[in-house]
Amino acid sequence: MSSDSARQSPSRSSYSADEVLDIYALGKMWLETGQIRKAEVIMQGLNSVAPDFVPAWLGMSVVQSTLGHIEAALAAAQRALKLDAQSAPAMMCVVVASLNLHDMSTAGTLLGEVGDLIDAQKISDPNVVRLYKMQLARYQAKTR
Amino acid sequence: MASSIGRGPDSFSLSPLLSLLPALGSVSRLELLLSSLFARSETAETLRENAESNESQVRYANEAAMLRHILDWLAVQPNEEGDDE
Repeated sequence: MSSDSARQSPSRSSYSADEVLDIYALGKMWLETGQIRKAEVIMQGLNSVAPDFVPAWLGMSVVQSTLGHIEAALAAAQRALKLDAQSAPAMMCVVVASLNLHDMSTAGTLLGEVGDLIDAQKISDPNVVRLYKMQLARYQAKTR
Repeated sequence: MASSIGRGPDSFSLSPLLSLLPALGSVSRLELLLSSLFARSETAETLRENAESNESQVRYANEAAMLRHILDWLAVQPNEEGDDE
């Protein structure tokens, strides 16, 4: 994720930035420990009280993807991308969901954008690069 | 020679999507917010009950559910300070 969006704080929330970040940390911890429904409640709550907070939309996308709700995962990822058009993690979440929905056009376009950012060394997160390579191979296999 | 054995798998191999989420905030700080979270929870419940639009009702219901989960989690956390009270 770009450092800008990682630091993004809610601008339309009665919660302080620290409160939002600490609540997000709990949701992420529950995702990491497989407590998906609890993580969903946290991310959904954050999406309601801090709708500009990109990481919680990404978290919701991961939750929905884990639950197999691909269209909901796509919607959350698209919301994250709308809030931060430069967010490589958001682009990759959209790519994964789009490939699952066989939307090759959207997946191909965003893979191209991420590839350009990687070539320009504007993405340094190795996890984004690894996921990009995986999804590029998946895209190529589907369009062959 | 360094070995990766025993280090466990990296986060990417466990869940590539999950590895995209930034590490932000700290769950240990939530305990310090207990009073304000409790107050927010009561307010959210009241606002949910009195919400006039469906949109507001959903928004406050989501907030109240989130806060209940946090408060429930805080209630079962061991006291790390060893307080005898």
